[in-house]
Amino acid sequence: MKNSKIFQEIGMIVDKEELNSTTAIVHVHSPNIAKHSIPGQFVHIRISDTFNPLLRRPFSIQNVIEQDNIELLIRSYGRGSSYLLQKKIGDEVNLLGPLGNGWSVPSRFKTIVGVSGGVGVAPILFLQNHFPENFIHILGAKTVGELPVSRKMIQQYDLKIATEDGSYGFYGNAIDLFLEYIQQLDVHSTFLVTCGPWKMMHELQKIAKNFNLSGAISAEARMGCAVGVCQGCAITLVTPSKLNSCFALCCKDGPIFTLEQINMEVNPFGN
Amino acid sequence: MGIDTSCKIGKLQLTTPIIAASGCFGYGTEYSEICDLKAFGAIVTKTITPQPRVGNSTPRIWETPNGGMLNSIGLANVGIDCYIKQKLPELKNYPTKIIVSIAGNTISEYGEMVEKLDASDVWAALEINISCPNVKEGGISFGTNTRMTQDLVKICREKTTRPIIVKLTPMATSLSEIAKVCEDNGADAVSLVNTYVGMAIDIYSLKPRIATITAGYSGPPIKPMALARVWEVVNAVSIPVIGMGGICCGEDAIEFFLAGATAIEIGTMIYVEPNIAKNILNDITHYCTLKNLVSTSQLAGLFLKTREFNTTCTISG
Repeated sequence: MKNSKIFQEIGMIVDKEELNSTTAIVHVHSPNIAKHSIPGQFVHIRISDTFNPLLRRPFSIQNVIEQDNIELLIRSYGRGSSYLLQKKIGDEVNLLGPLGNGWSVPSRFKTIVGVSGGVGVAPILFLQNHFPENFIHILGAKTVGELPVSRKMIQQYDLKIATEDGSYGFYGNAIDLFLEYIQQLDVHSTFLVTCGPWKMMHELQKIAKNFNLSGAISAEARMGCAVGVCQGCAITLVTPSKLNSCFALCCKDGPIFTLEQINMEVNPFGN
Repeated sequence: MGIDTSCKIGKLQLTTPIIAASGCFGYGTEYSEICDLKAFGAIVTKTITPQPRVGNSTPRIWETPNGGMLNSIGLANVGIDCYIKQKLPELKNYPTKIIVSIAGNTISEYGEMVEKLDASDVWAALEINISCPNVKEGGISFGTNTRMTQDLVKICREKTTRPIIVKLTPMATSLSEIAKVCEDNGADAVSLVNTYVGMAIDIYSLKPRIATITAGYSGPPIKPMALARVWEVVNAVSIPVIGMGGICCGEDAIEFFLAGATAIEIGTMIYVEPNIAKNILNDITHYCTLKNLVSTSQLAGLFLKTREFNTTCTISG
C-alpha cells in the first residue's frame, strides 16, 4: 500500500469539532495530501512560524473527506499539540505529507479487529473506512470525558467502548474488552491492528502471540524530519532488518510494523 | 540586474553559497521531491564510516523548550562500500554539487576511505568530519586535538586532489589553532560549527531525554555562539571558512557572510522547512540589491570595511 509521493502544502482549517477541552477533530483543506493519502499514513505539521516549537509534529490522518480535506484528531499533550489545538477555522496549517507506509492487511484475513487507546483511534478509523465490513473496533479511554470520538462516531463506526472507570460502555480497559471478543474469533482469519499507549500495544503483542494472531501496530516516536533523513525516530526491532540493523525508522519504514517486528521491551520514548 | 550568487571554495565552484549540512539532507535524494535543489550550491551527504553503523539507542532526539534540538544518532549509516555502490550513483548528474562527509575511528581509516572514494567522479569535494559529539571513537576527540587533526588532514590530502573541507567542533578550546593546522596541512577550507555538546533531563522520571545522556545541540539558540566562533576562525586562517550553526533565515545567513564566511551550511532548519534554502537565497539577493552589491561574495567585505573604519576611528580618537 506504500505511496511515495510527498507534498508540502499550506492547508486551511475548514472545520473544527471540539470533543472536550483537550481534544478536537480538525478538517484541513489540503487537496494534494488528501488525494494521495492511504490509511496509516501521517502528516508532519509545522505548528508555528516562530521557533516555539521548532520541529514539526507528526499526526495520523484520521480520514479523507470529500477528496480535498484531511481529518486530524488533535489532543493537547505537549507544546506542539496544544498550540495546534488553539488554531481556528480559517487558520493556515503548514503540512508535509502523506508520510509513512500505511496499513497492509493481507487478503486472506476476513475480519479486522482494531484495538485503539485514546487518540490512537485515528489511524484505525481511517483503515475502518476502507474496510467497513467485518471490522470490530474496540476503543479504550480512561473516562467518558476523555473519549476521542463523538457520540455520532460511536454509532457510525459501531465502536465498542471500554472506560477504565466504567463511565461509558464496558467497565475496564481496551485489552479487557478485547479478551472478551477473542474467544469468539477465528484467529486464522482475523487480523489485529492497534494504536495507542506503548504499554497497551506491548500487552496486545504478548496476547496475540499466545493466540497465534497476526496483526500490525501503528508505532509512534519523536520525529525530526519524518522523511528518513535525521534517523531520530528509530524503533528497535526483534530481528535485524535488511541492512542488518536492529533499528527501523518509524517515519519511513513505519509507522506501521507487523506485531512480530518490533521489540516492544524498548519504548522509543524511553522506558 | 541579477545578483551573482556564485562562490569559490578553493577549486570548488558553487552556483550559490548555500550548502545542505551533513546529516540534514540524508543521502541526497530524500528531499528531492519537495526541495528546489538548485537553491543549494552543494549538498553534504550523511557522514559515512568504513563499516555500516546502526546508530545509538533510543530516544535519540529531543527538542529543548527554547527551540533547540538535541540529537544523538551516532552516525548511523550504510558504510562506505554500500555508499559508493548504491548511494553515490543516484546523485550522478544532480543539479547541485555533492560533498562527501566521512568519519573514521582511526587516522588510517580516513585515508582508506578517501582512497576508495577517489575512484568515483560523482562527488566534488570532501568534508572530513572530526567533530561528531555522539561517537565513542574518532569524532570530536580528533577535532579537539591538533596532532590528530594534522595527521588526518595530511593523510586525506595525500589520497585526493579534490577540495578538502574539515568540519570543526565548537567544543575545541583552541579552535583557531586547529583551523590553522588544517590550513597548514593542505585543507582547502574549514566548516564550522558542528553541534555543541548538550544535555537534558526529564525531572519527573529522572531519566535523560537522550539515551546517550549527552548529545549534539543545534538549532536557532546556538547561532550567536556559532557566529562568534566563525568570526574567530575567519581571523585566524586565510582559507575559506564555511559558516553554520542555527541558521534559520536570510538575516542569519547574511550575518555569517558579514563575519567573513565564504559559504554557509543549513542544518536543523531543513527539517523544519525543507525548502528554506530557496527562501534564504531570495533574502540574500534582496539584501545585496539594497546594499548596491552585484554579488553575494561582496558581503564579507562590507562588515570588514566597517571594522577597519571603526578601528581607525578608535585609534585616531
